[in-house]
Amino acid sequence: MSVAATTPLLECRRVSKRFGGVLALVDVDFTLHAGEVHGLVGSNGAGKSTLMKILAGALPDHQGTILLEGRPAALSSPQAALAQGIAMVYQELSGVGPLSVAENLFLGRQPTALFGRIDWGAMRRKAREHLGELEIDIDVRRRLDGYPLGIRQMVEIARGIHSGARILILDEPTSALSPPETRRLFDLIRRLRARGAAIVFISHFIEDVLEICGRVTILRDGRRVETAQAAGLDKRDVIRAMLDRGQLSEETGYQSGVVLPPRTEVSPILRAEALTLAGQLAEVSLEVSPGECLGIYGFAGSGHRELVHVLGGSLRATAGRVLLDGKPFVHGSTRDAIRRGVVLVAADRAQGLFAKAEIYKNVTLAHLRQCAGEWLRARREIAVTRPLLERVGCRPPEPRMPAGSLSGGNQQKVVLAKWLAGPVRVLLLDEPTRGMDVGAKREVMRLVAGLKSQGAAVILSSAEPEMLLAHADRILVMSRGRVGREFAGTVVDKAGLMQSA
Amino acid sequence: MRRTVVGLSIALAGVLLTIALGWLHLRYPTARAWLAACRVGLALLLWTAAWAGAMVFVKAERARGAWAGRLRWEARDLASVVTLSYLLVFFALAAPGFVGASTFQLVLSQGAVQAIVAVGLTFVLICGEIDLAVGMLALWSACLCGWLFEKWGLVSWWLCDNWGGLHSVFLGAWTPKPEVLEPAAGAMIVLVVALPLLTAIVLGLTSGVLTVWSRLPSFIVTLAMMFIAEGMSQFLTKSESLRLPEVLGRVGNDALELGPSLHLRGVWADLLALPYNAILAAGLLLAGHLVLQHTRFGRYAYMTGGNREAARLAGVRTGAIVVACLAICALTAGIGGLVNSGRLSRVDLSQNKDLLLSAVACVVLGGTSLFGGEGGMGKTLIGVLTFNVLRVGLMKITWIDDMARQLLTGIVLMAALVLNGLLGKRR
Repeated sequence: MSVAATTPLLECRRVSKRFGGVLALVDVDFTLHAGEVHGLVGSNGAGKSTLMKILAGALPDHQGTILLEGRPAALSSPQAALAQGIAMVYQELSGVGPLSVAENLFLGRQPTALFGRIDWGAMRRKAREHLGELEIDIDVRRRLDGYPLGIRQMVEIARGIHSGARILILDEPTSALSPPETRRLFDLIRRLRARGAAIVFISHFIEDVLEICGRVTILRDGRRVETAQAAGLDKRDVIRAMLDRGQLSEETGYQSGVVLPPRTEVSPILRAEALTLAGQLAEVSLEVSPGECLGIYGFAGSGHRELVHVLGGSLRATAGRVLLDGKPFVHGSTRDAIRRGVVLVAADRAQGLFAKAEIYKNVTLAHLRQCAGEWLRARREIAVTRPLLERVGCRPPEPRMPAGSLSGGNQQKVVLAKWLAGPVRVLLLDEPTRGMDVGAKREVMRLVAGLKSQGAAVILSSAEPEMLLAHADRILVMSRGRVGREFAGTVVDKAGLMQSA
Repeated sequence: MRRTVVGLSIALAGVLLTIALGWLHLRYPTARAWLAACRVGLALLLWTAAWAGAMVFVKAERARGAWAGRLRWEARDLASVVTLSYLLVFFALAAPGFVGASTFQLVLSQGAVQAIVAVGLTFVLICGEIDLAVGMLALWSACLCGWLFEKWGLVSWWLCDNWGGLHSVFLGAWTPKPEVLEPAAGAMIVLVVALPLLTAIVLGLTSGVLTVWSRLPSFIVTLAMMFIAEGMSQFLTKSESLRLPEVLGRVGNDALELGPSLHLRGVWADLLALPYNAILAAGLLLAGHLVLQHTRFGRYAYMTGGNREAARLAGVRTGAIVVACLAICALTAGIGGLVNSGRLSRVDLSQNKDLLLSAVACVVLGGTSLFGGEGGMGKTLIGVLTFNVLRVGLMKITWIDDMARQLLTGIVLMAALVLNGLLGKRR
């Protein structure tokens, strides 16, 4: 592929990294030119984060050479990388919330006046100028955490640029942004590109990568598989290159749309009436029947996650009620919900797992009386736990291990296993496979499908259209706390979902 | 295989040599300070070798898979036991008269009150909270008990005056007429002891409900409760010193003499005279252990402390757990206060001032985490023993100035905590 025949701003030659016995990167070549936005894609474990960390200076002992503007660069620490002009914007932003935007912009580099006093006026003025150049129009005196995530991210990018970085690495920049925020981000990226900065754009969202990037590099199993112009690629090609040849996942087939089955005839088991939660939900009503999977789609902030939490008793609605089999729930009581078989699986693994406790204690917690009776004895609990661990496919299935020593996907399986110990009549899923790789995702959804075929009703709330198109029988689209459209018995595709949101 | 044998033999050799050295040192004491210091140093080295050998042995056996799944404790849990053993070895050699029945008795009786309070405090720490009011709740219970005991005459006079009948019998202060009053006396004593404990429970429930409802940290709520309890005690006693019922004095001071019934004399009889307060403490420790490890309430307490949000999502009523734990802590604080004041058979406002910090030190020395989710009664027991072995040991080293003793207690306590922390992090 022809690119400008100048010295690349950044060049990686045969970069490799080994962690103990595991080869995370093998002979990866990577070039980046000034004024280029270069996408980096690959599934979990492909080596994206390792390459990122090497460039950011967090992993100094690697094989291979890195050249900046043709000269070898020693990226021995994050400070060294920053000093040489490489700035990294992590997925979990690192701004300091209670400080103002101006202070965040100048963290560690505050302009000083006589005797080392900070010159607040100059700081604010320069911050305003700099943000104005990037056309980010905000009040620099306000606290950073008073702004939504999209703005915070842009401030962090601005800080990187302002500190003199010419190479910007963005890690999953759009995963928590709504489409309008994503568009603002892309505008900023285009402006930076015009100014000659080089940007590495790392993301799971292939469409975003193909939209904004000039070239795309695909990693698989630690090797570089392909580097090509984004204009010549489409999503299917990229996904096929990311996964093994025979593993075309469900994610590829849904550009053209999926046919939803007609509405089920079975009478609903769970009904929500006019649920209202101040600021999040407004008059939401829905119903779901046994054996049906109801998908709830919405962007961040649409209330689709809060809805699921209200249904599960984790959040207390300010008005409205939820009925199971015609009988209302106690507001805000997870215990009541669980007793009646309405089970909530939260998105954040930290909210579902007790890392320091043994696995068997995690698994028996939700239905302790059934699992262990009045007098708890470890042997009995372990006997109950083993078959459950087998059922969810947790590796290794050793109930005495502390749960925190498992890998992320296995931890999520342990979180699910605890609900299988008791009756599940309604399964509420809030982003159930976030942060999991393709294989683990598949296993988890297979479990969900199993429960569904046993007669449970499933409510699946997600901001990923692919997940809903693959698993839902009926889809509700939420926007700004209200239910917008409902898709049932028709053809629906990703574009249709995103347009209704 | 070789490592197993090597480890085991080093461990055994270390233990035997340490004991031999100790016995020699006690048999042939020396006046020369440098020689004594050398012996002590050597003993500590041998003891370290013994532990090192034991660790090698255990690791080798683990690697071999010999105890797969059956050994419940990690190296982390043993940190406090290691510290305790070092203290014992050190004081056995460095403090004259340490090895003897009197040390045993002192450790037991001094540690009993701290252990009683530490039982409840362990519950609270495990569920992720803290109760700063334990010292003052102990004081309040003792004060109320004393007040009821002394002023019972007036109270009962008032009661009888309004409900008729026994006024003449209970006139003035407590002057029992045995024939009439024996059964009534028993009931009276029970009330005098039970009512303060009930009020302590109520205060604990109040702390708990306020903590849960206001979402303030329990640190703040119980800090306020500490001042409230102290104030209530001052108000009630008006700075007088009050007498306490005799039964508390017996619990506080007397011991269960097993020696005579087993026909033993001398040292063994002394060893087997178990103080009543230690028996009470042991009973509470056992009860606490059973609840924590084998009841659903105990499991919920661990999970509430380990991850409050996950516990809530799993259906645990975390609010109720916190309230219950704070109430339990208040109850044990009350019991501890009654026992402590019972030793002097009087209560006055100067008592129980350092009970909070001693109890917290014991629990933390034992290895229970201040952040919740980890710990247990066994650890608390070790912590209590460690703390009191330290105190008694320093007491027996007679050539230290009294002023320096407090300082040394603090220094050694800090060293022990740091040692615990380092050993604990190694896994």
